[in-house]
Amino acid sequence: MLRLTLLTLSRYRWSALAAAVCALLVGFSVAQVRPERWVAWAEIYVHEPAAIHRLANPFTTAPRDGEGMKELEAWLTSRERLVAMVKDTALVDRWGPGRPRPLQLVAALRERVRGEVPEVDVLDALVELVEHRLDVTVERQRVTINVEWSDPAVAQALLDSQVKALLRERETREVRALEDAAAALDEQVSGVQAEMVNRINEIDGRVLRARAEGRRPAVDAEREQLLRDQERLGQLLVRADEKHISADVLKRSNTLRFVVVRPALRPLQPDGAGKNVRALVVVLSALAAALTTAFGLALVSGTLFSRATTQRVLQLEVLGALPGQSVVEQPRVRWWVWLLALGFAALSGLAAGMSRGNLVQALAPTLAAVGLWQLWTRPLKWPLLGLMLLAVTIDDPTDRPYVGLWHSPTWALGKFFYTNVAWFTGFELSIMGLAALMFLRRVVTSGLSGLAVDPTGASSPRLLRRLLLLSGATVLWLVVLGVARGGVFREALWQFRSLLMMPLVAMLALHAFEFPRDFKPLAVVLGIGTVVKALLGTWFIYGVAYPMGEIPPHTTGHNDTMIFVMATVLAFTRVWEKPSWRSVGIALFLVAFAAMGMRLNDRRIAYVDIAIALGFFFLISPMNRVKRVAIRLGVAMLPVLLLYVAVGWNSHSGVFKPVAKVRSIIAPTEDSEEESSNVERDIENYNITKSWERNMFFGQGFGHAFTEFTPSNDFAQSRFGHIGHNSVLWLLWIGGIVGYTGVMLYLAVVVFLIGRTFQKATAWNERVALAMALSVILTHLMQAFGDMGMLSIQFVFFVSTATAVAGRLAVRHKIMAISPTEPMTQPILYSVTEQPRTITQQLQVFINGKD
Amino acid sequence: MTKLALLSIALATVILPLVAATDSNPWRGVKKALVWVLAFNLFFVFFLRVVVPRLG
Repeated sequence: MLRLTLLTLSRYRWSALAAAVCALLVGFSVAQVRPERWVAWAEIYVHEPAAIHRLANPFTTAPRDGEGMKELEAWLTSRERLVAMVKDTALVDRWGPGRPRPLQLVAALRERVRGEVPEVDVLDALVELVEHRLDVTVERQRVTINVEWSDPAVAQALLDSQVKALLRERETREVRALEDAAAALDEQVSGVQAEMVNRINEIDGRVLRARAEGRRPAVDAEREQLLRDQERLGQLLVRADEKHISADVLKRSNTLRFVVVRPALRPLQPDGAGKNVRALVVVLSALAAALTTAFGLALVSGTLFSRATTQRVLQLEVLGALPGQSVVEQPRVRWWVWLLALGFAALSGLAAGMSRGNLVQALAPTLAAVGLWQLWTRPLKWPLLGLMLLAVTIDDPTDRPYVGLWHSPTWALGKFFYTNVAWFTGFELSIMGLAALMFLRRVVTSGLSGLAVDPTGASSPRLLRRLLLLSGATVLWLVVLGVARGGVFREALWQFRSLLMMPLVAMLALHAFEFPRDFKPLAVVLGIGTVVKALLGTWFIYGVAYPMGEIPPHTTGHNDTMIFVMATVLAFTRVWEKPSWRSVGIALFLVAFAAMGMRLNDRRIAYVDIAIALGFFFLISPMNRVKRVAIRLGVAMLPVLLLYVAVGWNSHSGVFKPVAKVRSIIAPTEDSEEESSNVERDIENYNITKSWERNMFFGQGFGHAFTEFTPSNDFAQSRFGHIGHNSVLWLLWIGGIVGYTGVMLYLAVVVFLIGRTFQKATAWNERVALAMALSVILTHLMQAFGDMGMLSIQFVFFVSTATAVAGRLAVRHKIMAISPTEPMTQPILYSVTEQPRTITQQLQVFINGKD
Repeated sequence: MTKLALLSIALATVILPLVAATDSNPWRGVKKALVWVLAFNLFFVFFLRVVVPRLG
């Protein structure tokens, strides 16, 4: 097969050579023309000389190490500082002549046509440019400042401005604030002193006059006032002295606070690799472009088949390949394909020339081409599984993981996938790309079922697909409605993005997955997510937070609760449906990590989610011996359980910790953190419901903020009313009951399909998949009710997979087909293996103890 | 109590279709699920407007 492939590729050797020459020419030309990039960097260690503070002023609290570091980072990148940097370095004057020649020519031409650019606009443009080229990183007590510029002197000057500003920071900000306060106190002291002098003069005058008239002077009230003034003066003097001392200490300890580990030096070498390495990278890129071009042309012309494609198209096993010149006659390649190949070669050269010797950047077009080809020829489930794996393993920076004290190794990936890249986040762009791929592949391969790489046939009942479309359409309608009513689109974008992604990802999942075949890889993804998140949380607590003296309230983000809950549910349901040592081993492994993750993440809602999910699973699972024993055991233990709860309700003993946890959820003690959190949520719920009352049927639409009828401490957390912690009420306010129903109605059908398929499915993995799907929906709704569960992309992936499980298995078991089965009058509890029973019959069996 | 009342709309999305899924005819079942959820959502508006404020 390899020999045949090489033979096929050799037919395109001249095309490959042309591509290589093109890439080399473009690559070397761009490398010559592109201006160099100089990176200047400095490092400053920030340390609070606490001993000096305590010695100088023992009556005030000494600042702690690491205090105010985040504010420092924000200040260094603030517009005020950026403008100061531009002005300090006279960048407006220096910037023009330092630019590359072609850009100078363009600027001169534009100036001729449009006239001179106002200095304010130049300043604004430069501030924006500096913002992009400046990077400030704060790690614990270390501040690193990076500046990149095309001129080493300018890079150094900009960096120097930042370092000097940082060294002066305390003097300019904190000391000034203290001195202002001290000056105000001094003024008050002077005022009181002047009052006292006047009062003394007045008393003296009265005493003299009284003596002259031979009577006793009446100055008792003035004396008392004088004593009060004296006391006040003493207090003011102490306070003013404290402020003066603090300012003095801060001023004098400033040099001790900042230790410049690396000063702002002028960079000696441009950024990137040396000349020889750069040349080698251009050559390698050209070779890669040549090989890719030959492969591409062979694939496009239809002379190169992979074994898998051949087998799929012919539906026959490939036993071997015959080498030879005339296996297939060389077909003609269309002119636009040649043009495309040439464009690709030029792009490869451009990337290599721009890369400054970075091999990965240089090979980016080739890697992108190979990646696109792989995406096109492989089943959709693999990229979708890849995205799901990312969603359950990387940190969401917008969720404030690790309380902002630590950046895990997944931080950079998280920043790409969870924050805006180009209007949308990395996840959203990937989802849109996959949706486009699915659509294109459907169009191209329609009628050629042999070429289809994804599961063929009906993916789900039509009703479910229609309701998913209705959900997407309702979200779009609410966007239009909201913006038309004066809503802010920028805010609306944050509000609706996850809700809009939900039907899209659900359609993709329905199209990509086949159950029960794909249940195993999905369970593996969940397992990896659980282990990674639990390990990251554990490391953060014991390796980062505790050594820093911090006791953080949580570890990873809010939405990771779903991962731990699902892993626990998977463990229990698998053991229930397939009781074996292997299942028990897997369950122990999963529960160990999930329990650790939940314990450290400390989200009370996780325990509620598990209880509800397992409760529903228990309720719908068929009656068997284990279930019967469990019910009897539960009933028998009920008095003991009630007694345990009653005794432990007010106890702080470790034995009653589970009771304390339950109490913190349903009836937290007064003045506890939980109570305060519950009160804040209640206030927010009240504000949302009151706002909803304005239009209960059609809602406000996206882009609006709910009104703060009752003041709340959490109002800033809810983006000033744009986001509600209770997503269910929040969506009701946004869309009214009509919009809410339109967005959420598909869930009713998903649950219906799960409930119905569960009666028919007999394979254990199908039943576990269905139980998991139901748990996902329940957990999603609970999280939505408790903590912004509708606004997370993780939930989008989970709920979409649950939808796919329901849809795919419903089709597999022909759930919507009418069959002449026995009518079931009230069987919430029923049996798959035995005849269906009503609840009454089951209760009779339970009471009589007979089957 | 108020919280449970508010939560009912989320729970209804699961409980009502699960009950409807036990109907012998699948299409009748799915119709029941949709109609029950729609009816409950409408009832929820009334419930929230009239009953919940009296719960305190």
